[in-house]
Amino acid sequence: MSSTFFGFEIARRGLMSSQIAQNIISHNIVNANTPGYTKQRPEISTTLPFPYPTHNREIIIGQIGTGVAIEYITGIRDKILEARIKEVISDEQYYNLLFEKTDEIQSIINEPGDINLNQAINSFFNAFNDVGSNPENLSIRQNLINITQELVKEFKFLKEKVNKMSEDANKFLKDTVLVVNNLAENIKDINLEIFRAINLGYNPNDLIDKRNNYLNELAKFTNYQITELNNGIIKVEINGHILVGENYVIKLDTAIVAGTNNLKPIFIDGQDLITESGQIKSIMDFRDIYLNNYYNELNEITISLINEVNNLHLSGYGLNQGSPSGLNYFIGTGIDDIDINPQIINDITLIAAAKNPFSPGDGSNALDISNLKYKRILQGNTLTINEAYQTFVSKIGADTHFANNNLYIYKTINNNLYQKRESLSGISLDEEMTELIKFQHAYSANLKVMKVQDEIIENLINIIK
Amino acid sequence: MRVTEKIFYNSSIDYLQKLSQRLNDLNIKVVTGKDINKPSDAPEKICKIIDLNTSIFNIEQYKENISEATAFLERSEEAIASMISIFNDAKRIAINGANAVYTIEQRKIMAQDIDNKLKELISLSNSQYYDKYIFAGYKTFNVPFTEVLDSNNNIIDVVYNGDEGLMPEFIDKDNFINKNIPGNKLKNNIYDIFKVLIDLKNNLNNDDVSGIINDIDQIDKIFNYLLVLRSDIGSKLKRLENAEIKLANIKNVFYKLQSKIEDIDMPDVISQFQLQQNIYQSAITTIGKIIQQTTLTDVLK
Repeated sequence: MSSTFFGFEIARRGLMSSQIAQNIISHNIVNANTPGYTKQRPEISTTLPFPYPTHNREIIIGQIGTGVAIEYITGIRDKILEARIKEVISDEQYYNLLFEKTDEIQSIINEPGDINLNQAINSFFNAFNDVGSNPENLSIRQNLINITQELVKEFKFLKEKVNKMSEDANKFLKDTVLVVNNLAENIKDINLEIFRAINLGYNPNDLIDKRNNYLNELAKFTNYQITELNNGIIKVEINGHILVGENYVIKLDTAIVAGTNNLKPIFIDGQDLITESGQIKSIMDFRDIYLNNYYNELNEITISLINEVNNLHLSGYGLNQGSPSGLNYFIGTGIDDIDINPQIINDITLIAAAKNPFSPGDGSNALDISNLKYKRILQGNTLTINEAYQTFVSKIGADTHFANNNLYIYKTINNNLYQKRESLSGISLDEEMTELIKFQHAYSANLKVMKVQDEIIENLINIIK
Repeated sequence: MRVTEKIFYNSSIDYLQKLSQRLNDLNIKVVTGKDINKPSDAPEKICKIIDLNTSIFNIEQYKENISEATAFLERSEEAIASMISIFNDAKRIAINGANAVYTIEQRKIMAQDIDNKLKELISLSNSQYYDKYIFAGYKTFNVPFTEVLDSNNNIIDVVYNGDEGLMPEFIDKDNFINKNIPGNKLKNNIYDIFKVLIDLKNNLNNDDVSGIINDIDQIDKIFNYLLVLRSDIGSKLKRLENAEIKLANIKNVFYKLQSKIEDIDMPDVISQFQLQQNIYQSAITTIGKIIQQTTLTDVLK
């Protein structure tokens, strides 16, 4: 037969459980707006019944329940959903940064608009036409020089902007590597705390939430794979290379890509960091593929312009000159160093407008140069300069459009997944209030039980007088 | 689906963001008046826009070329017209000179007259447009026609120092008009506008009536030739005029096309804007009510 105070113990267990449950609910309520917080739930079950079935058990009519206990506290989370969220964050951030960068290029080229490379090239060809119409006129020749200098400035402007964006990419990589290293350290530290808590038999829900926040932050920069070990520790790998191990971090660094000024992210053990999405991949792709293509296309236009104009200019005659000029109109070999020949700036009569010796009225060479605008001199003689430029601009437009569309798609997916996660793991205040009241009632009822027990025992004691 | 407060807030913010974005897009369109403000707005149309911009820009150049060619040709036409009137006068003098009633002294006075006409003709042939000689071919810096004098300072010949260079002005892609008449058109083996007057002058001085009669034929020939030159200039001027009208028309067409591609349909965009505004209004009203609605917490005592 059980003890007199058996009922007391059951009531005490009820009070304790209700109190713990109320605390868990309070914790949920105060964290309703904490980012990444996962709803926690008390797992309530009965304690071991009495007597326990053994050979020397007491012979009574049956097993009597011994009360209630909270076995553990679970966080309501969906690991698959959370992994999917990380993937989508990486994808979203990839297109986010790509859009930002391509959009920046768009505003640099200023199309459609009045002040841009296209207008500078058109003005240049038309200035040659003016010289062709009035080859003797020195102020018209001077105007050609001025307009050419504007064109050269436009090329320089674009070149500098492209270089600047390359430098920005380097700076971005340097900063990002530091942030990723920091996150990796934090994840490693939290891993350790979680490991300890689990070994002591706890369920470290809040720590897991915190670690999850760091992982989401990390996903902005790179995609990665997570392996969860038995002791609660997670390993973070990027494309098969460990970033966060069981109790160590292999940090990132930057290194110079051979033969360039560009940086690339590496692990400190020297291996290249290879990512498939996230901002690091985005900035690398932008710099090495998109920006590089734009630069090459601009350079090709510049080279064709230099070569074709010089070619005609060489064999032309300067104002009232008796022998072919033999001078290049442009110096330089591409967009990096294009400039107008300083000899011509110093003596504008050297502009070879004529095709015949001692012919001041002959502007036919200048007209030929002006008509280069219609000549198919690019892409294996299939495109005019203007058409090549159009292709260049429309490519930038299409790339930006593509990035923006994908950004929109991934934003929507991400938002959708976020809502799903909230739906599962988020806090509903109505729900929590209901639960709170439920356990409040339970607590009151347990108090009542306690009181009844008290009265019974009091009566029992009072019999003996 | 289990709905929490955060889901409410999040979707409200997301929805308001999207509406604001749409309002902002429409706002940019209304403010700029353009449907396409960046290449990414319509990558497939941007080529056409740049192409049109360039074409319109080039049309401006062709228009300039046309006015340049027109001015040059008008200057040439003036000179040729004056030459024609000189030969008109010369013919009248020659007819008088061929008349037997005139004495040798009177013919000498006529010869003097022709000499003056000849000098005027040379000066006309050396006409300038700004600072360039218009009948010099490409040698626009040099006086194209110079006199050859004998010991008595009589003009016995005129030498052409220019060349046969033609000055094209492009009035369209692949389409040009030569704006100048090189001096070899005025003095060559078949037509020599100076020789006729020199011959006439000599025949008048020498009292050679049969020679003078022969010169009248020559003057007629040159007179008709100059008329052809002038009508040639006239037809070029007409061509330029037509080209200018054509360019103006094309430019108009391009402008319309450009506007069709780039510009917004104002009433359409504004009505869209109003619609979006209404949606936004009703959205914030609803959201305002939802986030303020009484929760269980408020009811519990």
